[in-house]
Amino acid sequence: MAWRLPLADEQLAILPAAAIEAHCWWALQFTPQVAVLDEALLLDVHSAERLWGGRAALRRLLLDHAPSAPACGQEEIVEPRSCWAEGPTALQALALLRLKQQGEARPRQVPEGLPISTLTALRPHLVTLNNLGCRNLGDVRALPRSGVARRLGAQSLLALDQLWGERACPLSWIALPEHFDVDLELPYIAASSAELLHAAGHLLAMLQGWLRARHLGVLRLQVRWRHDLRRLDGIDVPPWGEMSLRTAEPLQELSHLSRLLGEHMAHERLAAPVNRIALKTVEVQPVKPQNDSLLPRSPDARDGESWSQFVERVSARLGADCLRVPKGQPDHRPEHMQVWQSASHALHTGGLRQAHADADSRAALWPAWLLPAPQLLGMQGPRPCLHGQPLHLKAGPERFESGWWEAADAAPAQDAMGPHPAPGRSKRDYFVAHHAVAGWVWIFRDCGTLDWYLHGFYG
Amino acid sequence: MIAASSSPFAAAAGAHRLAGIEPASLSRLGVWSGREWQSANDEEALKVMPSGNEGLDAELPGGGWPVGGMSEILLPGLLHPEWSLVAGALSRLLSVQPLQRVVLVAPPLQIFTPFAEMSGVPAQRLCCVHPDATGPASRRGMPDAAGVWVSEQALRCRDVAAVLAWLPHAQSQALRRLQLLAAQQRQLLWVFRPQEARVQSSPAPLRLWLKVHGKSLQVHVVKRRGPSQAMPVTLPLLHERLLCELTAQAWRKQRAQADAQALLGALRDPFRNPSREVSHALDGMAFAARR
Repeated sequence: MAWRLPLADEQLAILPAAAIEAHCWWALQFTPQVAVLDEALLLDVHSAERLWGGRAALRRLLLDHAPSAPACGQEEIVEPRSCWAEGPTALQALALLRLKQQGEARPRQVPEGLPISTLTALRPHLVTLNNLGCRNLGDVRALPRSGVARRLGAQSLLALDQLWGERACPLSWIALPEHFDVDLELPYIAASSAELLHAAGHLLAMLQGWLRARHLGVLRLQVRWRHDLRRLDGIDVPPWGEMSLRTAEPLQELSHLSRLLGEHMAHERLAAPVNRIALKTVEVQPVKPQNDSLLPRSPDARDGESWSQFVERVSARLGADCLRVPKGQPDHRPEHMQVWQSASHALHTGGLRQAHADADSRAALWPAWLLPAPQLLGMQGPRPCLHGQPLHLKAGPERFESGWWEAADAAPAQDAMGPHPAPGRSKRDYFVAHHAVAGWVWIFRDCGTLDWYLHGFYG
Repeated sequence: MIAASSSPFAAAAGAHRLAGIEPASLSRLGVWSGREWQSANDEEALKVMPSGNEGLDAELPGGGWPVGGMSEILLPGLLHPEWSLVAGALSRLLSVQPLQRVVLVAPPLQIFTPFAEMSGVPAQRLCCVHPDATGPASRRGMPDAAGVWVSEQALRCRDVAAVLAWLPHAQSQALRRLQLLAAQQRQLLWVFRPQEARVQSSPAPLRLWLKVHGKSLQVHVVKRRGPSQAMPVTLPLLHERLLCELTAQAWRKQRAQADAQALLGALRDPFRNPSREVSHALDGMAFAARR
């Protein structure tokens, strides 16, 4: 019942086992029993195939999800049809795969007709068996068992039994590590962030396999890259450069994360060419897979990215301060009635509050638009004027006094942005005025300096 | 009676036969006469969001702002009448969709939240994006490129109910992309541009030109799917509570002036009105108290 895909990279044999296993994590989403044997990846799908709707459906899924090209591959692209085989036992499947890779036809009788070279345990004895006149595994098995055990060793006999399925074949199933921390030696020296991004894509695919198998979503991720040079143009280059990514929602689908990484990388300038990249999860959180609805989708339901993804993408490109959400403040001074919070900060602190404060009864005289900072108006005799034309006061005054407490807590809050008027006591009389060109405006006179300021627009 | 009721129908059928087309095939072809644009759009199930003003709704195809189409608003010079135009639709939209947001791309000024709350728009569900106008893209001769990009992202987001974008220098190509995206994502999109852009062609199916006259806002429909507009629609520019305040103040001022005039008249000509004694110094105070 083993189904398998080759690791497809013979050079990877020199890599530590953990690194090889990392390439197989993607398969864990289909069955928990995945093992690496010699150059192949073995999947025991016996218990899982009903879940996926039969062997054929599972085969299709596996073919779709199998990583197309190996990460460090310099050999030709392997035809996906030829890189898998299936058989009732692990060793048979492996033997069939080897046959397929050599481009030979499947023997009429399996496993009797399989060539001897397809079984690893018999490979050292290939010449001996040839001299004995054995052409395939059926011939070897027909030999007297005691003689085979004496001349070829008990291991060969055991392997044959395992191939026939008469004895259990213990495989070391892959277990996922607790933390994702994988680094990848780049096959080329990456000089630009775009090249680095390409390599990071493979790591992200690995991460996705790990997350899926562990039912986790990533919240924070650290990307590091090792510089190839110690010194560049006489300047010391730190050995590692790093960047961390944060998302508001635990993510498993990595399309958003890779776009986010792309946006951040576009801003990044590599200090030196890079020869190694590492990816590490800093914070993960379990995710509940989303259920499909039984009912047909309503026509209003839109697909698209969520709000947090929008905020993160736009913040990544334009900077976090570009996205601002107003937050009402219980204060009577116009500049302090609202603070502008960066949207990504608002995202992390809390969602939408449903209830909002009742509208202030004095708001009738207040404008829709506020200038970021009051603008000093010119004077024409006693009248304030804007663009050389006088303003006609139509309503007011409405007095706002700012407080003596300003000086005490002059330091603005961490999350607050926007203008902070000079601390200290001030007294202002606000008027609604009409201007021939600019329409209805909100102006005030500072009672201390008697200067007129423009502060808002109506409409 | 049967004959009477069937005769107009027969006459209508005959007329169509004269034209050589069956009435059923006419409707199937989507042929509609110039005056019937509303019903024609209803058949296409055009989704609209009522603007909150009956006069304006009557002029907009389908009876409201098109959901899934760009509405281009041409603004007069230095004025900022955007809010009085869209506040009704926004407050309605946000009350219908309690978890969605509205994105404002590159607004020229800051929104004053108490006013937004008063017009029924929960301010914390507005999100303002201020793309850097001097970013690398605009220096490369693509003005408003960042604004267009943000608008595109916002239109793609499923938690965004409406996008308001101020794109004074956007090119027609970029606007076409936005229009296509709004149609594809079935989103409300307002694009605000200066009135100088009126002479340029635009991919927006609905173009309105705003003019301000005193306390009212005149909406000229420059382009719509349907017949041309006969008369501009007049909307109140200021909030009704401010209008009340202004009227009250004007009335108070007028009355104070009238009183002052009366007082002046009485001071200048004491003999014309013999009932009033002005010789006493405290008379003015008594007058003030009466007021």
